[in-house]
Amino acid sequence: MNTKKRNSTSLILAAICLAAAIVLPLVYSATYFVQLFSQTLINLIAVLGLNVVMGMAGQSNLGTIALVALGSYTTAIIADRTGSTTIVGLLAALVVALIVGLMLGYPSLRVNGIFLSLTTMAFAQIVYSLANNMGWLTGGSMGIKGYPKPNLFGWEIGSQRQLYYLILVIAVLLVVLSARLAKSKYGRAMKAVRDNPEAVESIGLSVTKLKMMAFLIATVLGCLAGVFYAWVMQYVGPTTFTTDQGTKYVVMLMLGGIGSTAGMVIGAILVTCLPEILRFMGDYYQLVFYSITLIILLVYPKGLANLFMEIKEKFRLRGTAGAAGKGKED
Amino acid sequence: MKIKKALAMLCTAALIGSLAGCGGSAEETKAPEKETEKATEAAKEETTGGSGEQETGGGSEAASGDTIYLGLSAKITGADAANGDRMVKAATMAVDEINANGGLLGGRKVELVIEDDQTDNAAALNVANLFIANDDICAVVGPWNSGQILAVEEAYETAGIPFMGLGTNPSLLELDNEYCFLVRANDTIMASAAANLIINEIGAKKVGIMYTTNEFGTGAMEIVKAACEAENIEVLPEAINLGDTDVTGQILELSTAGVDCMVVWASDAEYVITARQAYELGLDVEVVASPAVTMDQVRELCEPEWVEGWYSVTDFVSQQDDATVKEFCERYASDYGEGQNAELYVADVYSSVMLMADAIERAGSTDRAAIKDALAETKGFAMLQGVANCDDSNAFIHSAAVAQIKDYTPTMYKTVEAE
Amino acid sequence: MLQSIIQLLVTGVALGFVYALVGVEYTLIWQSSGLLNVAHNMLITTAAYVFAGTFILGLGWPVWLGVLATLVVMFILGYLISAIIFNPLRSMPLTMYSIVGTMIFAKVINEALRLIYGPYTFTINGFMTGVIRLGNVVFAKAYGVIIVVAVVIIVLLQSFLKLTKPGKAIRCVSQNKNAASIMGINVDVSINVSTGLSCVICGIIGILVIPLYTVSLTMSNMIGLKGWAAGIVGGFGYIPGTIVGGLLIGIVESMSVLAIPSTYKDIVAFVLLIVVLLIRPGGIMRHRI
Repeated sequence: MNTKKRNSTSLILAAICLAAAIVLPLVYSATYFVQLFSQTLINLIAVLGLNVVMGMAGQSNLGTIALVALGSYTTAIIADRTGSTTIVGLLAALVVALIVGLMLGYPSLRVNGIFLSLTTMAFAQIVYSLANNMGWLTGGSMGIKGYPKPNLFGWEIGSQRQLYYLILVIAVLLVVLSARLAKSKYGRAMKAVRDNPEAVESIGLSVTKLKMMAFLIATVLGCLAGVFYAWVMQYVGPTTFTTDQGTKYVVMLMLGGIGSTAGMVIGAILVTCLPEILRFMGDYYQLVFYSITLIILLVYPKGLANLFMEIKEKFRLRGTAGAAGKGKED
Repeated sequence: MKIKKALAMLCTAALIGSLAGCGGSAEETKAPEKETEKATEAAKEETTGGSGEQETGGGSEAASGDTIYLGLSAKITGADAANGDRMVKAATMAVDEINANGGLLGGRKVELVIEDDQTDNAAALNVANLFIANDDICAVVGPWNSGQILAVEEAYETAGIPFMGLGTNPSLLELDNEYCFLVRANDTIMASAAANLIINEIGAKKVGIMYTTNEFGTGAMEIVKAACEAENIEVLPEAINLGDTDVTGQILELSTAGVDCMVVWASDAEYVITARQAYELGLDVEVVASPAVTMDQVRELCEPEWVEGWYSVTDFVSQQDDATVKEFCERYASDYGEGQNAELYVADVYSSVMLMADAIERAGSTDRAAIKDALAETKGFAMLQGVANCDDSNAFIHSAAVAQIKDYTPTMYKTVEAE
Repeated sequence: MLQSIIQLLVTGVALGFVYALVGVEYTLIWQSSGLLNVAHNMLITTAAYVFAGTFILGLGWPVWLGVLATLVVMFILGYLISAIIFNPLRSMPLTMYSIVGTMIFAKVINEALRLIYGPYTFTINGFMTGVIRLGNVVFAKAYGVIIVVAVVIIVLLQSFLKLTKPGKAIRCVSQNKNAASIMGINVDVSINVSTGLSCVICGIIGILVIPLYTVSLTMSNMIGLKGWAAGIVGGFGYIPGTIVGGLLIGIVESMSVLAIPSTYKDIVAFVLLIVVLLIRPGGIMRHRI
């Protein structure tokens, strides 16, 4: 009975979010805002992938930004060189994602924790360096622009708003899938890999397969986010993909609530939109934002989504329990 | 434990509160610059940008009112924040001067709407969209970097807002965008001036080119290389990565090859490292370089002996005999620059704003299309960098200044006109 | 040709020592608290700013006084950071929390430095500039100073750790915290001291590299990243290993310009890192953490 209540609250919140997501670009329709909303969805898709590999499976991956870069550049290069329909670029990006997924998954089988973090960091640095310097392929620091707009099976997506809704559909789908994955057999197995790898082997599941699966999901989602990025911005350049910019994904992950799908939504919105909204703070914005994030991380590392869940629990307990739950348990 | 929870909730509330509380005012564009903030806020109340508006096509009238709004896309934060600061100061100086002289279009005051494009291409696009969403803005100065200009030019064209890009990459000349105006001598002109110097005055036989791999360095390298090879001068290009902290390898290649002239065309940090290591490794040849060394903030990072005698092709030399330039530099240093010398960034942005103002006067209104036409018709307008004549590619300046470092000071050597 | 090789070698050794020192400073924290200090490059930068911006250029103090003051400041800073920020981070369930925590902390330092000192790059004119000539070979005086100072520091550090009481306490804590506290060592204080020491080394690195990179917010990013490579290549978490790794990377990347285009020099360190990680995760000195 209580679980039903909890589910319905979550459903209501989700419905409100969805409604807002549908209505917002109609209210704030200037390109600036629609692109901002699209960027939020793109970050959400990327960080959902990060959540699977880092939140659920517990494998360090600090190279999300490189995945987005690879997806974006693949799309842009193919669109620019061949002028072909967008599907080819999308498929190519997926192929790249699969290859990279295997490439990154493999070290995770040999090393863990710190080393994996460093490897993925090195990977991100290499991708950026190559993007910036291989001018013949990537346009170097000038990047690639002026490639054809996305064109799906003859439907040319001309407006930012149409593109936004397309991405919204995919994003919602991925959010639902991600939430279901968390509760599914695979999801629980991945969490077991994070918490207790020996136990996983003992019940006959393969740690190798699970880790690889987690990495593949992360790279596919990351590259997909990159594809959408190329479609939305119509311009791809290396300055967007520095390792410094990459920290925003981990901030989304941590701030939102590691392991929680709802947390990813919260994280993506906060980290993407706040910088633009707080432009008036000018110089001080970044310092304030990161200081608050650090404090939250230090006192409540599980992130905001889990914080809200605990608050909800507290209220529920206070309502039902009375004398029994004194509300002081932590 | 409870304190921790409370603290976490407080911080969360702060974050979410800022998200919600500022949601309403997000439609208005914000100018972080303190001087213009109050006035801009007041004006903004009357004309809220965001809701329900689409960006308009060409030929739209900026919302009428007493104030004329000029957008400034400056790199206030990010990799080149120091120069972004100069952009803001220079533009402010220009606008203050215009207003002190009675404003434009019959006494209307000019206001800057300043946004930070973070020295980033994607952020520049966000800023462009911000300006586009603001009906009041009739024209924009900035962004500076060529990459940023490439990122924003289509957006401005669709929205019909004329803007002045301060980039110099030759590919900008081929944009065929009637709303994009290029206000500095492009790299072709500058690099040709460098090649001219090497061929005609220095008479080098073997030239080494130290260049950074960005658009700035690569573009210039290709021009110098082509020009020199056409005169049968051997060229050795050596690439430097942005962020490279050691160029020993590159310099050693040049010195073992026995070059008698070195071209340095690099971004600031790499420029300084090249100057230092060329000196340390004993490469003692004539040097023709990109503008950086004429700018105080770069030159001061170099020891005098590293750069003595260097030639530098630049937009603007602050130490020269011209009275207008002298007066400008003194005024900047005392009133706006906090003692700093006016240099390339300051001169270019100040002049751009002045040119924009002149175009608005000639257009006779704040109609964006009219301003665009007026800019395209510019002839013989004197700017600090030279005389502005708008050509078919919407570029204004066709000359470069060559300075030489003597006693640690850049002194004017000659002006080179483009062919 | 020989002259080129010697010059490249000198550069490689000098930079190698820089990477080695970077490796040493984070290994100190890693050994004592198990924390990976991703913010170390910002601490190096902070030291450079404090030294150049506040003491030398701001207050006009002589170099020796500036150095002393900077090192004292860095020690105190390290102690405080350990107590306030690293302490909660290291007791977190997953190591990735601490990594992310230090990443965010690095951004906080970055912003604070930018607001305090402004965005302009600057340097100290005449500080460790100039060249040294040995026969036909010239090289930067700065490289010579770096090599000498690095060797001295490493010797001092190892002596401290092996011979003095607080040093031994630190090593004790690294090996086994429980045993250490049973022996009467205050583990928390010891960790704080290690961090303070690590920051002092960051301070030395920061001061040494000013003539090479000038003082800017991004001055230490590359050496910070290559410091990781040094640890992994040489033997992570093991000071002698890190030193070997640093020197190896410095020399290899410097000499690599003879074989590959110099634009790819920066990637050499990271490729080495990945290769070693996949083939021999313990590093060259084969030290298992």
